Amino acid sequence: MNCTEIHDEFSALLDGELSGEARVRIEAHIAKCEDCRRALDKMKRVDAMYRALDPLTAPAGFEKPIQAAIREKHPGQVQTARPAWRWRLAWAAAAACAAIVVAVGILRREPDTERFNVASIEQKSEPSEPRRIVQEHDAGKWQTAPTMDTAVPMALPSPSPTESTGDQGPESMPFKDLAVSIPQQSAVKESRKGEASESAPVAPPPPAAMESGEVKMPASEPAAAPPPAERESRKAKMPSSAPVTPPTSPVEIPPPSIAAEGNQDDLPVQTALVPPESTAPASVDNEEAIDAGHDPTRKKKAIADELVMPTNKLGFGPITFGLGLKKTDKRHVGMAAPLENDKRDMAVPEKTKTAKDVSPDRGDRKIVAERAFLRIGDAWVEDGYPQDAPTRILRRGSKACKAFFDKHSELKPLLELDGRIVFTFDKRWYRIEPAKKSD
Amino acid sequence: MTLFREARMQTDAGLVEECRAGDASAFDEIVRRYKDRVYRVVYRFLGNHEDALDVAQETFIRAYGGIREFRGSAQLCTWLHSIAANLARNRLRDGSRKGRNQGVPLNGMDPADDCSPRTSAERQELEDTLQRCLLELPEPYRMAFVLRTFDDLNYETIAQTLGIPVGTVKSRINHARRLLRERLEELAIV
Repeated sequence: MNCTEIHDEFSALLDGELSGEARVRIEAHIAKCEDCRRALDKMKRVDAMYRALDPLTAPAGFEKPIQAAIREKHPGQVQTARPAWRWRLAWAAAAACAAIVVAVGILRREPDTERFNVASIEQKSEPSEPRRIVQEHDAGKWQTAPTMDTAVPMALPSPSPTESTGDQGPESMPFKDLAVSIPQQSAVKESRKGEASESAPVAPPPPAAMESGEVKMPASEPAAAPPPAERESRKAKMPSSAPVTPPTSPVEIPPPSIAAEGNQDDLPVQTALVPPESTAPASVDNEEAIDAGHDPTRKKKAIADELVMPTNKLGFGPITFGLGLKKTDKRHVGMAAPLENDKRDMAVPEKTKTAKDVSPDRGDRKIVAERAFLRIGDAWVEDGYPQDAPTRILRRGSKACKAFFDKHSELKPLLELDGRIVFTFDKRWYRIEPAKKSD
Repeated sequence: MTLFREARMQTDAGLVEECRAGDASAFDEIVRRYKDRVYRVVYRFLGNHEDALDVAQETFIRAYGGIREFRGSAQLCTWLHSIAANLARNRLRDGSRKGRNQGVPLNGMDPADDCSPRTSAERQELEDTLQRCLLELPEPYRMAFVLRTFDDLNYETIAQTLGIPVGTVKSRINHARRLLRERLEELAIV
């Protein structure tokens, strides 16, 4: 290998690209050849000088034209940087779904559980305040009655009108207690399986309710007679003197299963109002008459009429507070679940008419801004509030609340209601919570 | 999931996959990771900041447009350098037609003007001289030498980048060094 050939291998030698044998051979030559060694040293110096040049870096803002050009040349393909919140949002959504699944699973595990969000309103009831779900209508006498064919069988106690307005029970019932009553109603339904032929089942209030003094009634009034099968099933639960109900008093009646539940005797059941002038179909069994008091025939007819015709005679369908539970519709508790007919009756003109007909200030019920509100504990709940409707909570005095009512000024009259307010707007349910205490 | 993505973002292949999936942030990472290397090579090859900046940016723009065609058989840096080399060569030819990037002819350099690199100014002048000498190299030699010297690529990678045999790479680099040595000897720098 001559010097020229050795020079051709200098770069490879410097860069470590030579194999072991070639390197040994070249190094041996360089060790002996002064010219080659000197040439190699100069090449090393040159290479070192160039490697020592300033290590350039791209100037600031190098990426911006690239990003702009990419957006321009490939519109639609460029995404913004995938932010971490997208993953967080995905995880949050997954967690929410999991929570919903778990919640649904828990709810379904409870037998015949019917819940309603009214219970979520943490109502602090006042012991002295009787809880009344239904009020008399100003225009006429109202009766309590189930409004649907699957209404909870019950007997309506028959306190006197004066008693019904002021002393229906020793305590008002908190929502959570009311919620507890729903499975009891369902339990009644369960107990009534096989009694489909009974179109208007009624049952007397449980003894527990009577013992609690929640429903006051004349002891002399005869008890409502449940169907035979039901009488059998409730023989152990029924008091000897069944309660009776005056035809004009809406009252709260604990479901029969309350007695079976033991210590839940203070749980009333909402009842529906039936105008006394309703006519009952002839097929109604007299044994199922609710009221054996003042006018059992009329009462029975009224109840039967409600059962056959769920729509309220006075066009006040939505305000059928009480036993308007449809067996298959567990969403509506506390207030009557509107049937299809009722929904038609809930059209705005009808509701407006009703609002005019009904006294706006009846203590337990108010009409505000053409909306019917029911007093439940310390809350005013708009009619039609379904049990599973999520509520958006607004707190009085908060910025969000102010902004909401400023935006929807037509709703401002609702704020005149005291306490909590549950109302619907734009297919959503809202709950106005009292303002936070400053202390 | 984020960790998985971050792990993918650690590798060039993962970045390419993320970029193919439409994640612009992955391409931003590619740019961030290779912009200095590409710019450095292009600048040393062209010797002009504006042209180097244009070519380097265009390199990444072209890369984004062709990222779906990038098979991944070669390294990402090799692919980027090949794009940059082609663009730089094209720019050099365009500049030659326009009378740009001619550099300072080595023959036109007066050895008497050379100064020893003792001061910063002298060092800057030396760098300019070295750059001018580099620009006088024939383009094939220059590119191979630049890739080897300023990006420390091995011969195999340079061969892949330029699409030439490894032996050709070795020859080009060796010729480049020999020419540079001779010119710097003339300038009494070495």
